[in-house]
Amino acid sequence: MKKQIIPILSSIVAVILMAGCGTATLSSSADSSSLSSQTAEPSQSPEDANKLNIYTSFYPMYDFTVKVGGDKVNVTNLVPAGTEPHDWEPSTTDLANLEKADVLVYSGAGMEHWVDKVVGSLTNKDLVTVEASKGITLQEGHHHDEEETDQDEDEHEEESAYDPHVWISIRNAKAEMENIKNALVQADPDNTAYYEENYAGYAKKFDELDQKFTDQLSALPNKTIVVAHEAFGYLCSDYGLTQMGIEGLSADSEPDPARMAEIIRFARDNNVKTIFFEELVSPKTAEAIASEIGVKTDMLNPLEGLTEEQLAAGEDYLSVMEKNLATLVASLKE
Amino acid sequence: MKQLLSIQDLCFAYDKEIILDHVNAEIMDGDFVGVIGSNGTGKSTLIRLLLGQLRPVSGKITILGTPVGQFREWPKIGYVPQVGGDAHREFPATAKEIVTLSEFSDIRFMRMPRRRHIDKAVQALKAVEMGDYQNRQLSALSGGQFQRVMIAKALVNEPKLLILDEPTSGIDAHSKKILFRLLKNLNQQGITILMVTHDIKETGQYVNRFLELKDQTICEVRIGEC
Amino acid sequence: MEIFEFAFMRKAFLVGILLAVIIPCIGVIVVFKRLSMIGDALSHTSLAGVAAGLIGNINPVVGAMIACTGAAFGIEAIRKKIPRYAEMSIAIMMSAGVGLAGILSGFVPNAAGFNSFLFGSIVAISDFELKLVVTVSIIVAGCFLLFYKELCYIAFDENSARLSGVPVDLVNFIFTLLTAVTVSVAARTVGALMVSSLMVVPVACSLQVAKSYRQTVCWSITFAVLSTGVGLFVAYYRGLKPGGTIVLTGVLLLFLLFFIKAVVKKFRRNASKMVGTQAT
Repeated sequence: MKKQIIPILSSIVAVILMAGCGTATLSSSADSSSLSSQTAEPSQSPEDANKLNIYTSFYPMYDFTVKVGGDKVNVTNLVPAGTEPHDWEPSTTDLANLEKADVLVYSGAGMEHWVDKVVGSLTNKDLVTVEASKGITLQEGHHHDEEETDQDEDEHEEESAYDPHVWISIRNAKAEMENIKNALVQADPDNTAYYEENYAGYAKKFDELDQKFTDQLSALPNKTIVVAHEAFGYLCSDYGLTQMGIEGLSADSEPDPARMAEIIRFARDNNVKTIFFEELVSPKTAEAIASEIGVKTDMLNPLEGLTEEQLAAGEDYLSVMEKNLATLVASLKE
Repeated sequence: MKQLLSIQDLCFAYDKEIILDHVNAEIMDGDFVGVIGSNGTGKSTLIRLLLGQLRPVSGKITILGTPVGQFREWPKIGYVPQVGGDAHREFPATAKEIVTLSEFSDIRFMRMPRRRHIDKAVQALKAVEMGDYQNRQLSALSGGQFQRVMIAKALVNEPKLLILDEPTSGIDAHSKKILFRLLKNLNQQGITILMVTHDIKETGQYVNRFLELKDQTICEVRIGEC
Repeated sequence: MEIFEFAFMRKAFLVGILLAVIIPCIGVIVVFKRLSMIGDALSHTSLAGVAAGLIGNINPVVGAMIACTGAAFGIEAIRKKIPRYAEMSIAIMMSAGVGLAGILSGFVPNAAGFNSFLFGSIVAISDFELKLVVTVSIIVAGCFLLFYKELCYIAFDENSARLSGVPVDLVNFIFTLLTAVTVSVAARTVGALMVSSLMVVPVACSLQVAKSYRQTVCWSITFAVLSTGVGLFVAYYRGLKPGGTIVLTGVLLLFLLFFIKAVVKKFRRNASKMVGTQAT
């Protein structure tokens, strides 16, 4: 017995020591990086290495940050291209990077379920966290049955009660961008004018797009859309549309047969001519429903992430929303 | 008298352990031979060599005039394995279904058994006094009844030689008597029997001679010692 | 009836019933070869194939089939080395498969696609999948009939079968292939987590009532079809996930059979007791 205890004990001790050493190096590098950012106060001459290191949670945050921050910041997106962000978890590499980061931009409202845990576990106490959706009025994520019982409401309260897809409303997106701009100004006041100018430019574009949406969508006869998952709540509120999601607030599994029947009946009753699917999720269910009713399918992008191809082609929030508008108009005008 | 089985200078070893060392034996037509020996002396190994499942290190085994390696008419050899061996005691098949399986070479690959195959199976079951149990599942049979079905399975192809590996192990005394009497009957009808057994005393009255495996070799025994 | 007005439900029933016919055929043999957990091992390994497919942009069902086939042959190879502990070979392969699936799942872009293989996707069957299931069903059913007695003999006593002239290695090879293909296709529709139960539970049910090997096969199919049909019905009208509903229906059926058997036994015993006392 003694013979076996010693190797077991020593391996346990070895692992603990390694873990301890590991944390020490991480925190020391975090200290050194915060030191360098302090010394790199823009009162001196700003250099490449002294730009803010910003990590954004997923694509829209990345896009807004880049729009405002321009070339004064280093922005890295955490959720990789082509990956669905709802169930995504940061890896140990991501955590190591966050230890060395200056700013973490996330949307909030329950979208990034990992944020509290991760930020709490970091030793990097100088990390500035930006909840982009702060101040935005949140909607409740709701079921689609009109006969919603009190019990359903309570169950929802227990999970994330709110619809986290705030960025899909152009007006909200502008507000998120503003929150990000304010945070950048606070962290890097020397470049305030630059950030303000960028923001103003894009705010104007967002307003123009919003107007376009309002004009084109209000003229349409049909106001109901069937989508892959309930990602378009805020957009629907902005323009008087109704969404019916095949899946709920997060695209994680397939509907059961009763739900399938419900969606099909709903689509038939509301004269829906297109079933929308998403880039990042398998279109099988959408196709099954579409073929049942005899309508077509099309892609409506909830802007939860872009694929490698889209990024390479230089797409951004605005270009994708323009495409979404065209798709919506094409489908709803019948 | 015809020589059915001949073992000449047979040697066999598992890795470095020698099991059989220059073993010689002869089974003649009409014999009822008991193979005895303490545990681990290689009785089951000998059977597996006779059935061509193991290859000898050296020496020759001849079955029905043909060397074992080239022998192809295995239906002429009926084999009843040890109880609790690989055969499923709880298999849901009926006695009739199991016995029919044995007629494989007649039914042929990928074909369904015909009426005549099933009739033959029933006949074999009747020969072992299990005719009334033809539709009984194996799991519903006692140890002795199960063994009789296995014997019927070996008999269905009308073999010349019947090889049994400890057919009475784990079976109650009454069923044992029935089994031995059955075997004696079959022997008297012309089937040569080679039976590995532990029971010298009980089988003594049925067999016509014993072969004892001892010290890696075989010798003939007339109910005495080697 | 309302449930059959929908094309997707008709497809679900068709696919479900076809699978309910072929899965128990594999199941009967697998149970008696003492490989009952093979459905689990193969279906979990198929997830590694699914993940690989989703990452590498191949059809994940094809990925599942390749992984399943590899695993099935791996199990057969290990079983030959350690025949007394056939179950261990399954556990070994399952560990390898699940471990690989775990690592690969970290690289899968879309969790929903992966999830649909865990729990099945019988409500959204594409035309490709329908054709696949029909083809596989015909092949498996055909082979099972062709090798009916060979498979029975091998499951009963492989050595005896070999001695009687059955081409055991060939039949085992084909059966392994059939098992792999069936599991990977079934995992797609009823879910990898459920396949194993569909293989074993209907067979367990049939052993309660069957009086011969042939009856065992027929009853296994009957119980599987029954569980599937009832399960789909209940899932539709109560809004439940079909995979789990089908399997639980099967389990409930099994308990019901146990209960009925116990009651019948007791009834018979009491009846014979009464006759006994009357006789004296």
